[in-house]
Amino acid sequence: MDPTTEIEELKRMFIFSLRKKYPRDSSSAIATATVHLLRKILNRENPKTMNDLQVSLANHCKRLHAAERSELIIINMGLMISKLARDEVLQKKGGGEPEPLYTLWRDDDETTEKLKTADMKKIKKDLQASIKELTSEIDSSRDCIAIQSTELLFNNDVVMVHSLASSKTMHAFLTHATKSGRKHRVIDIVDEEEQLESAPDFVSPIELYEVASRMPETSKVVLVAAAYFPDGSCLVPAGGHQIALLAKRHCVPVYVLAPFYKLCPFFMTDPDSLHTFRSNQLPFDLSAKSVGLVDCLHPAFDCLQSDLVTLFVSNTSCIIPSHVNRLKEDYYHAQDIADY
Amino acid sequence: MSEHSSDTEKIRHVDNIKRTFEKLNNELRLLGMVLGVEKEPTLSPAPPKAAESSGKSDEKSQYHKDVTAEDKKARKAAKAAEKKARAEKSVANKAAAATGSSQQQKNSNQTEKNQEKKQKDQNAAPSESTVKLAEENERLTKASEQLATRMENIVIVEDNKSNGNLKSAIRKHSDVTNNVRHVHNVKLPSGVNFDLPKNQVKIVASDSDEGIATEIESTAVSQLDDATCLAHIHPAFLTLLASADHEKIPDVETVCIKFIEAFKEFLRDWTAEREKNHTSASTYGHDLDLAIRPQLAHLTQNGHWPLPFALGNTVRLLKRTIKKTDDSTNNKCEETLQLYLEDTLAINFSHAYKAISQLLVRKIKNFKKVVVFDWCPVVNYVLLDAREQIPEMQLSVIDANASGRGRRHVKSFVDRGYNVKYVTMKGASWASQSGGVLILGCSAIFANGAVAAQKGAVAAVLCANHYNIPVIVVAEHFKFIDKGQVYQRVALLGRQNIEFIQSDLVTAVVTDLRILGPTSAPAVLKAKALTDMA
Repeated sequence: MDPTTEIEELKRMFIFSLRKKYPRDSSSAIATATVHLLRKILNRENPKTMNDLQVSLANHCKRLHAAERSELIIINMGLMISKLARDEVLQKKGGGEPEPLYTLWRDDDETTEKLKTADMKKIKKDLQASIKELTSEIDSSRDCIAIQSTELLFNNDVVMVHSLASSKTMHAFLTHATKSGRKHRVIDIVDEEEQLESAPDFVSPIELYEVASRMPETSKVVLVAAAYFPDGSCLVPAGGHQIALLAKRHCVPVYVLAPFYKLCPFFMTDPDSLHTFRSNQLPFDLSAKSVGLVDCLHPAFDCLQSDLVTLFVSNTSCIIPSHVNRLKEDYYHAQDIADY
Repeated sequence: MSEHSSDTEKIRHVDNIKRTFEKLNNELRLLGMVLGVEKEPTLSPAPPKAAESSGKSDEKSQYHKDVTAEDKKARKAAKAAEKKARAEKSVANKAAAATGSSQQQKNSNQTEKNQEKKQKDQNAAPSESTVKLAEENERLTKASEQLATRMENIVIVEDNKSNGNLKSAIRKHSDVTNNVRHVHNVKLPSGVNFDLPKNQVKIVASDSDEGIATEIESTAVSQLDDATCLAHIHPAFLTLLASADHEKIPDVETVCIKFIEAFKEFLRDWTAEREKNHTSASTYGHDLDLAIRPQLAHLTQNGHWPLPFALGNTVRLLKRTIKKTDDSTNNKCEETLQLYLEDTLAINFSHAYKAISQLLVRKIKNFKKVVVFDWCPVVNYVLLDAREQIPEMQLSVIDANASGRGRRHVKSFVDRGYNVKYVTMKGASWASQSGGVLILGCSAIFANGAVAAQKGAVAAVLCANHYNIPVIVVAEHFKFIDKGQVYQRVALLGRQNIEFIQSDLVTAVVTDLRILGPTSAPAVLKAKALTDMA
């Protein structure tokens, strides 16, 4: 089969699998799936030079992201792989990456030329190995974050969490703390009435409108990020903004669980473009009457400014919001971001 | 209980006291004789006393047969006088201790008492007995006078109690042992303890049934918890309570209106009954005041849950008006009150809504996009008014929970064919982002500017503050309360809980008087004479 059609077929399958799953798969699963997909595409495409690789990855990612606007992870993965490739090339060439400061004024056409013409065949195997490493890192990120719970939660803490039911990372985080013998109380904010009964034993569930009255007795707030940006702001599931504002008013620290693959290298200029809306919640009879008149909105995300977040809990360590910009250097290459 | 203290009374008191003392004296001496030898030296004064007492015993027995309230009073006076006498005797005893004749005092309290008697006698003996007696008389008279004045302030219950004991004890007077028992079981105010066997206490307890019965009658009705206690509650109030239990009342305004209507019904029935009984109209206000107390007590579960704040205001104003009613006939009184209630309904509700709406529509014209939180009838009225006047107005409704009282706003708009945006609590931030002004209803506004609103209001207000949109709270004047912020649940609103919004989060409060800042709440309290209502 023609490689191009094969690739198109792969991409289509990927998009369908994303759309079929309801409720949405966990982000780590989506990240791994994306990485596998990109690996297969690279195998079939066989780019000759670094430049080719970079361009092709960018194109594919743009297409995929356009199909699923809310999944920023796709872009993240593409750019990470690109960075891995660059690293490999540099290793082969020897010598380190020039200081980022110098690239501003130094004439680096030479370096870019070199990179562009770098031969991909030599580094192909190493690149595959790096990509495998990437997948394993994604898989282990949940456990790494869970381990950090012992450093953040202490005895006699009252921890308020959100979206415990839909986030496995959050669940792992809290169970690890409980298992290590921390005696803390967990208050969980649940979305629907049904979740009130099915909450795990160690949590006491409350509804979102009761948050303000329970905040004075809370000592920590833990949220899950959907994505976080270099300026330190992040996207959290809807309702997180009010919780963070209340926490700020009562001077309660807010920890956001953010594995590395959710770090988006781009600033969000227009968050509204990202705001997906989920299904509406009106009861049937009112819906019938209100056809055409009522705009029933159910936003998926809330955007938290960086001053509302105390710490991002990543799989390597905890980082303060202002440090995220530096952290992105570890995972992405500036050139890739500029060329995207 | 007779309250006048005439000379004859005083003299009677003195006689009674004297008799009591003599009786005590006798009994103790006899017991002392039974117990020990120490009394031997004093036997000489004892016989003359005994002779005296035996002479008086007939009188005494006669005396005991007709016991009156005054006697009971006298008994009490006697107790206190004994206490006083004992204190003085102890001083005398100390003096006598130097002479060494009061060692028996240390053996038992009875002997001490006996000793006191002896001392008294001894004191009387050296000087002329009559003179001493006269002195004692005076002292005792003074004591009894003081006690008589003091006794006017003693509560009936306590009197009955003690008198019950006394009465039963007194009844037993036929022999020495019974009299001794009486001495033990009479409540002596001093800390004197008699070493009598304990089993004697039981008998008194079983005898003072009368005392216990009176005790039960005088305590509050709240002790009774069965259906019969509801019989005196008017059915209008029972209906109110029942509908509140079923969560049919969504907000404070409805509670107030329903309460006023229930009260009108109650008033009609009560006045009709009054007419039947032909009671005069001069005590109308006073009697009505007393009559509503159990009704209100039932509504608040006997003070367990206080009335919702705004309703508390209305009730207090109502009580004030009731106390002031002074008309010639029952019917006229009723008319005045009914008129007052009608006025309250009109002022607090329909006129207030119109005034608030007028003030607020002007402001809404500047902000085209309005965000509201949860249900409030005032806000609804304002919104509908505004929508008619401002066609470009857009409304977003934030609903606190799935059982959706915010949906009533949606419904009212949809019924008229207007467009509405609806979000649950999760979308509160998003709704505020695109809104121009947040309008809130409230249950009460406190003197420090804090606003009592439904749960979830604080979150909505914080979101609005974050996006720099003004927060306007709508409140009629009767919702202002002269209290600081209190944390408690309230009755009658389906046990709903309230949140408090601090005054720094609120931009303005719209009342039917004018628009003002939240910290100007005391000005409204003063203007509408709602102070001193706490």
